[in-house]
Amino acid sequence: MNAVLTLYRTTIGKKVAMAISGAVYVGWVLFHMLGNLNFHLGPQVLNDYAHKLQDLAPVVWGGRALLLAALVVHVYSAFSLIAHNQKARRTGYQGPMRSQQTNAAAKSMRYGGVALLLFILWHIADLTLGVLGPLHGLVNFYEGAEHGFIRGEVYHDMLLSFGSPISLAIYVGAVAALSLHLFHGVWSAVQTLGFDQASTATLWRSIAAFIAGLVLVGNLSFPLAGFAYALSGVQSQDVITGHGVKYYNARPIAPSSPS
Amino acid sequence: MKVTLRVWRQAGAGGSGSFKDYPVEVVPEMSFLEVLDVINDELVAKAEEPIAFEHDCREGICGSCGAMVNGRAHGPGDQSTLCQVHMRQFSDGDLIVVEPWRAEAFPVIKDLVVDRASLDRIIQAGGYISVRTGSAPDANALPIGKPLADLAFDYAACIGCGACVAACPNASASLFTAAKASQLNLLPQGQVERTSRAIALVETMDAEGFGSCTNHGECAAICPKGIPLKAIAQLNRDLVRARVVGSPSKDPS
Repeated sequence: MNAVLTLYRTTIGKKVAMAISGAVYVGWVLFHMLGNLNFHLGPQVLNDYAHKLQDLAPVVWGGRALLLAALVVHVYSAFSLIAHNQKARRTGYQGPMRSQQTNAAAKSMRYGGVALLLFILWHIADLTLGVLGPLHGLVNFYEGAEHGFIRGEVYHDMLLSFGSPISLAIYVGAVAALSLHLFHGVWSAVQTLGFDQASTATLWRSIAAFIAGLVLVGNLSFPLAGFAYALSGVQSQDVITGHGVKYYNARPIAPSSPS
Repeated sequence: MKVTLRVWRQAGAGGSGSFKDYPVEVVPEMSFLEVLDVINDELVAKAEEPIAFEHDCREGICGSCGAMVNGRAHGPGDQSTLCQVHMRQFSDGDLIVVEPWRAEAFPVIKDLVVDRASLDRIIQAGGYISVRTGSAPDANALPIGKPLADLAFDYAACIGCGACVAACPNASASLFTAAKASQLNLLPQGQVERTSRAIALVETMDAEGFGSCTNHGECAAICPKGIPLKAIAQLNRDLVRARVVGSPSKDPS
């Protein structure tokens, strides 16, 4: 423990902490995406999946605790390093300064990070706490929007959120920001943890690009599909599920829509 | 051909400075430092203060010269120091902006000269090996594999010019520190102090006020000696191993 704290005192130690806490989030993002891809299999599959997950309360709360801890470490280390780095060049270049190598992903890490932090709060308010119903009611193409957020009716809640153009825009923007953050972050973490070698440098770059691409395509698929379903109009009916709660179940009309 | 050098002039440490334009007649074969020499001759003839700039070998191996030229450390050209830049790399009528390295750890002393003693202090902290002195050991007594020897030699090519710090958006000396650590950490002679070296170099780098690495790769892109970014990965790995795994040998740290 002492060794870890001594390591954390150095800038490299803080970077290692960011790499590890970031890796926790990469794992979470991929898991979260895989779970949400059930959206494409229709309301029954998605809701059943969500309820099964909720039944594993210790796992859910353990996961949340881990994610919160990783978030605190990641954000605190980031701000600490940014402050340190800003002190390293108080007087900047007065003439031109042309970058040779860096890319938009690397340059936008801190801004993208803040944007993602705000998005996490929005996302929890939207689909975990379900307190954004009134906002989603303003402009919404989803027929069932009038019912508002219904806890446990995951498919309905997602349609409610994605049926709102405002909400959809936020999701699309956040997924793009996340993908950009991962494009630099995954590779950067590998470099920070010292795995990058001459023989594997391009391999890790490719893996980072692949993960960023996967997260972009996968996570854009259900908001866009949801918006398309909402536009095409979906039928809804009340159903009682085995969980003893009255759920509102919405399903697309077209037999072709869930693929 | 005729070019105009817009040079940062600063009377002394801690003071303020500004750019001043110097139109000058040059020939394409002139090196960048020779152009500064010509301007200085004219300034001295007019009893004005010449432009202060560091230089020594003028053949790209000593690490003395260096400045930000049109926003690129050491000017145009790959793996080149400022003295190896020639006027043929510019066009007639060009405006060339020349500015000293900028970093808190590199305070400007005068004009284009910055104090890079902070790099020396990083070396002092552990960029050496402790050996028994005496007659030279037999050359073949300690076999070292060719790939490892080559890699260590690549890192040893660092001339400490400070361009990596100058080009880094965070003014980080990670590439320099990594090269200085790894040139020894990869070889058998460097193993005894491997862990204490990694810790001492990194902690000194932080204490000197250099920034941290955010993997932009600017340093490796402009390094006159082509030191690759993976040097930093090696340093990170050595530091983590030093702190978390500890040292198999009993080195004082």
